[in-house]
Amino acid sequence: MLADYVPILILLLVVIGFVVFNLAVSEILGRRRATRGKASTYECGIDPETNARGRFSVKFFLVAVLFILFDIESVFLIPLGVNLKAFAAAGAGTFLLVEMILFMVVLGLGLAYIWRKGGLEWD
Amino acid sequence: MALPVFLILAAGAVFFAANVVLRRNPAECAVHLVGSFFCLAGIYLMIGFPFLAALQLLVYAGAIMVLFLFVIMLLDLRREEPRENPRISTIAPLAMGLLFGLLAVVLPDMPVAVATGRGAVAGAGGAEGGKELANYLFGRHLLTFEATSLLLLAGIFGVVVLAKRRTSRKADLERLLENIEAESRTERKEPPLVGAGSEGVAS
Amino acid sequence: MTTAALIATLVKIAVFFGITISLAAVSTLFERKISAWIQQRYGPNRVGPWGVLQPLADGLKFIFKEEVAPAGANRLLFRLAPAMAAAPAFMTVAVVPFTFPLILDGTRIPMAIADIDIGVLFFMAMGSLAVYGIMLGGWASNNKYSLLGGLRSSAQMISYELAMMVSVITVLTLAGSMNLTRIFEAQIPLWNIAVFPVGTIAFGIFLIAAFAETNRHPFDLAECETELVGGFHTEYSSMKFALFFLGEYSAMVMMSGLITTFFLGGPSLFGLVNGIEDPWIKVLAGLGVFLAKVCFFLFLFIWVRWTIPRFRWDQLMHLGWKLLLPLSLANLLLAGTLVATGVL
Repeated sequence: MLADYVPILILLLVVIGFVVFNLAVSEILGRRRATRGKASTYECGIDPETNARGRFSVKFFLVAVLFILFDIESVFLIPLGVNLKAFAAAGAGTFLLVEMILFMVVLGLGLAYIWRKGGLEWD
Repeated sequence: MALPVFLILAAGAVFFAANVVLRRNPAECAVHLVGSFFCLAGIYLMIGFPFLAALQLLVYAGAIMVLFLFVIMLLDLRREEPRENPRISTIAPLAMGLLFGLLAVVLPDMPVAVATGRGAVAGAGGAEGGKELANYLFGRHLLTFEATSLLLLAGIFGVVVLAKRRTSRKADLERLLENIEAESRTERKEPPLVGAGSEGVAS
Repeated sequence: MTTAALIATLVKIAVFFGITISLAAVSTLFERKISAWIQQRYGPNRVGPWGVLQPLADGLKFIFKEEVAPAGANRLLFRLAPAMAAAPAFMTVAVVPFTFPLILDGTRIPMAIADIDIGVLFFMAMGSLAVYGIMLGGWASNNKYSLLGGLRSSAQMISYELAMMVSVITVLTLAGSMNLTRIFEAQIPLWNIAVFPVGTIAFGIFLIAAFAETNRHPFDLAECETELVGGFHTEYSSMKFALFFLGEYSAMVMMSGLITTFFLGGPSLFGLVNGIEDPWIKVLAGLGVFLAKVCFFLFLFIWVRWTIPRFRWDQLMHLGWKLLLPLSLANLLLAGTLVATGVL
């Protein structure tokens, strides 16, 4: 069974080789003439003021955390979905379906809660 | 064939993990942690848990580390200031060593949990599409599975309460103005950026 | 692994990886040709007849261009980001079945580089890693446009990833397998897109999410030129920029391939190709059908770009979280009910 995954390893080596080759070739062959102007940050010709790395809206953080939570939900749904057909054939389809509905309703409530609280608004 | 690959993966995992601690730049630390996750996923795959390996990449590398990087990007953590705190630098390694010792003592005594879960997780990558895992998760541990949804729900409540604190518009505006003022005060002390001279405009 | 299997793997990698890269390169030409056609211009027509050698000329030019990194950039991450942006798209090639399995003397050679049973999970994992190149590229450049573009783009990608994952789970529920070859084989009688309503809705959601995942119009807020210049790759030049570019187009090719596999029956064509007796002709005909479907979606990607205006940021997030995510979850529930009760 492990042999099934060897092609992925080979492809990984090929891809790494391809990417590194491309980057290396242009680093070697490309010409270089550094000047102060080139080294400065591009800001449409205006002198850069302050460092770029400032603070941002906490909304992005909210999006990322919600993403993780719903990501984990989908991960649980993967084995459930894949096996639904086999379980239905074995006569346990309704049992699994009820589990699935319960699980998704609880998380649906979560989504409704965020929605009501305005967590999905960008104002 | 298997042993050298394992050794490479294990060495990679340790190397990346060490870099997470040793690097000063938090974004670089995060990237090294991703590298460590990759090596771990490879090891899971080698011991016959392809499902777990994919989830390691999907959840840890693909979701949790993205959150870490987001926080690093949001908070402007440019460089960790080296702090001298002799008490922490002696206590921390000791505590870690103690915990590792505890793990080494406890782990061999827990073959029961490992053995029952092992077959199920290993079967998850099999041709049957993880029937064993489904039986295990949705049959035997049905209640735990449903409780997970409640746990996730609690997470949702938590993050909304944390991030969505009710503030009036006026307070927001005042805080914004304060921030701008504070920033302009600190900027004057900072040296100008490299290459930020007028010459950059001329070209 | 036997020598024969190793040779088969190497041939498959050479052919399928080669096809993906060439399709990506050719789409850069077609992007310009089609945009010119839509806007009544000529487009590139100097390098070779009809400009066919343009991608080659571009590649050579990228190699010999000067590399410029801004002074405040983080050197390690600045170099790493283009590689991390391109690699996940290339790695996805591993699980896509380009044609029917080749059956020679009773042995079945699946026509995906790695015919693994968790193929769909592998694709999802690679899809979730694609965000790193963009985040790191935006962060390491030390440029405000880059950072804003990277932040926006990554928030957008993770938002649409959810809807995409759930719609793929719908496909898994219909097929009962995570192996991509088996998923398209299950559709030979009836393509998933025609399984009304669940398959059709899942197809719609996947298609929209695919546009957002590849940062294509109308979701290219990461680099909406009027406000963020180039977005996360503003500071990139030379081959590093080219890798971002190639990664985007390879991701488009892969997304087209996956849509074809998940919803349009992969290489099957109403049972026509499936009925061919000769194994080699069947494989080649299947490859032709598959690539024709892929090219249709590539054309769709380009067509939409030059037709539909860009979303605004709040509209984009509302579409992802308030429409696509609940819709895909409801669709999955419906699909689950239909499958569990034996209707499908």
